[in-house]
Amino acid sequence: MSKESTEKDTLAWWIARPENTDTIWYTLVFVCVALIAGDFVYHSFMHDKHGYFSFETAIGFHAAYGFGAFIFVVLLGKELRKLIMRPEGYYDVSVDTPHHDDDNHHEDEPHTDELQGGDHHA
Amino acid sequence: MLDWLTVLPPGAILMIGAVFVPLLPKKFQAWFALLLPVLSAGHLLGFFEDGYSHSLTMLGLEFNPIRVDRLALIFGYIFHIAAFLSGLYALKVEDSIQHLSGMVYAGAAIAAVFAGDLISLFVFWELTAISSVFLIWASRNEDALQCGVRYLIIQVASGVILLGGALLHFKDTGSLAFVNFVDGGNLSTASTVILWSFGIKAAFPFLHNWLQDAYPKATYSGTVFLSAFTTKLAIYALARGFAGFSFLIPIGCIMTAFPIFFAVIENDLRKVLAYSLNNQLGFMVVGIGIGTQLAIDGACAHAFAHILYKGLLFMCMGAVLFRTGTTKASELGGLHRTMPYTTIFCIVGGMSISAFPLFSGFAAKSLIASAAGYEQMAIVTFVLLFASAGVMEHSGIKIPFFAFFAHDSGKRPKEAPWNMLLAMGIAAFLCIAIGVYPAMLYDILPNHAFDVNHGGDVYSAYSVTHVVTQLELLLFAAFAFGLLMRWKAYPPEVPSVNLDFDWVYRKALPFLVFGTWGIVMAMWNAGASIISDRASKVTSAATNALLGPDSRFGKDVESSFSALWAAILLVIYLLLYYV
Repeated sequence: MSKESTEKDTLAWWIARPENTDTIWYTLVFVCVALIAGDFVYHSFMHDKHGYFSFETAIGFHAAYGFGAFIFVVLLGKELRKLIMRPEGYYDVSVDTPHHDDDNHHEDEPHTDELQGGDHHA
Repeated sequence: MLDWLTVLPPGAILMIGAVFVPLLPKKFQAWFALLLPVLSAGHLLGFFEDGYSHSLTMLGLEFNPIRVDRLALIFGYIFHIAAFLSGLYALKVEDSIQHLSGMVYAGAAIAAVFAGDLISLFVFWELTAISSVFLIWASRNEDALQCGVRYLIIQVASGVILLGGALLHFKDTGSLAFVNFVDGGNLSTASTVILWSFGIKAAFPFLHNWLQDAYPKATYSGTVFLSAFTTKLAIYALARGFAGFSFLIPIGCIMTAFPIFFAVIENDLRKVLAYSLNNQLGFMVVGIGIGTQLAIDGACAHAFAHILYKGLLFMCMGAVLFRTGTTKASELGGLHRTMPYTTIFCIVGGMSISAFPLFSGFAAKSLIASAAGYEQMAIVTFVLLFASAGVMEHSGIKIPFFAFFAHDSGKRPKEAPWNMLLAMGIAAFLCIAIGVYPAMLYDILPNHAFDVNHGGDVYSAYSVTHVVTQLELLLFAAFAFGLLMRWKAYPPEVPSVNLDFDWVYRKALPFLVFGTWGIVMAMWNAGASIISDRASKVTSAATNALLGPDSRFGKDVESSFSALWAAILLVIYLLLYYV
């Protein structure tokens, strides 16, 4: 463990220090490249790679799939946020949500009242 | 002399013993609760073995409260381990109701997996529901109170549906035995009803939201209990009753895939874990749907490994909650500085659930993937691989990263207490032990993990191909994460809630019901006011006609006339009185 720490943040682990981010990143890139190289060697020269499906034995199939799936999940998640994200306290019943701009809001009130009634005996 | 112990269902010691917990002095309660899983494990190991069965006849019906076989045993073992670890984790909780309900809950789940008939299953099924809700209510706030009510309604409903299905099944077949209900790939009406009941507890799509709703609202230690038993009891029940029912394969695939998207954008890390739990259940449901011996072994192995690493992750987040009062990613970050052990245990949990080689998830999940491969299910394989990358995202990276690293929240909480660290440490050790030496787990699987497509040898997860391809999948997912972070394209953690299916019954349904009620009341009021308006007009007209100044009764009358009328009325009254 490295002792040369910044004055401010002596408790931070080596991996969490900003100056080491690039080192970690390039190590990861190196490992990824090495994996693909290993896959290539294993597949081309040792002819030992097996799988249940033909696509599985392609070089780097899992790498491409893992990468693609991750990007897809995150980007679609971002889009999903636009659709389903609400402010904290959306479901809070004790605070009357002033978001209903139509007159239905008035009819919602028995709900709020009743649940607040539950508040008293809690 | 100890014969009575052989007719006492496994887990009964937990349930009976737990009742004495509140009677003890405060400082002994938690220790006594911790002793119970040890005693119960001794009971299970000492008095029961594969093939044991205990039946009794009541009201002319044959009940089978204890049936021991390898499928029940593996769940019995892991439930005892989970009960012990949860009890150890909760050792400093000074709340007798949590110790009581936690141990009754664990005991009921254990007894349920050894129940050989549907009525015994129903009894313990409902007991898990009723006992576990106190772990949510024990948070003692308005939010948890209401959430507990929702949880209880859904869980009890699952039990009632199970009872209905059991009675229908009895009417059809004359048997209450809990066996495989899949008859040539089809289900009878009765068994379809039973499947619905199991589906609620197993968090099938659209029936799932009780899980994400309730688990983040329980106490920091309550969620550790909850994460182990309810859903895995349902997995056991599915494996027992519906192994090989192919309809479960697409259901399981959906379960593995959709929670990922919710987990990515969820801010509350315990809710992320709840979505992640749902996704893990999907793998098991797929295995059960495939239904080959290897696939069932895979589902059981995955349940076993999953209880440990999911419990571990919930323990880590529980420790964070205990020390900082929150598990919201937007308020956390940088905690590794003062909670180093928790950080390491969380990383072990994250690597286990992501199925890194040498961790338990790898040894367990591979069985299901191989079973799908042997059956040449290409789409299933694609979905499971996709889900594995998703697991890496939300549990492998997001949970440890945003809690313990990421931007420094400035929080410097103390490390978790020794008992929590010990519970986490044991769980982490087991995660690695299973990953390094999977034979230990394979040995107790229902079908011994025999790989019939591979000469009948015990399944081997560690082939060069498998290790390399799995590392490619995970490390390139990590690479994608790094790239998105460097491009600042990764969605930031924001304080928020995300709508899911529970919106239907938490917002839309109350709105509809109370809205309709409001409209009805408004119409009633309007109608009533019209009627009362009319009525008052009619009354005033009538009053006017009868008593107005011009009416007959309105005129002044002479007093003698009045006196005469009074006398006549008096006479009539007297006559009526004597007749």
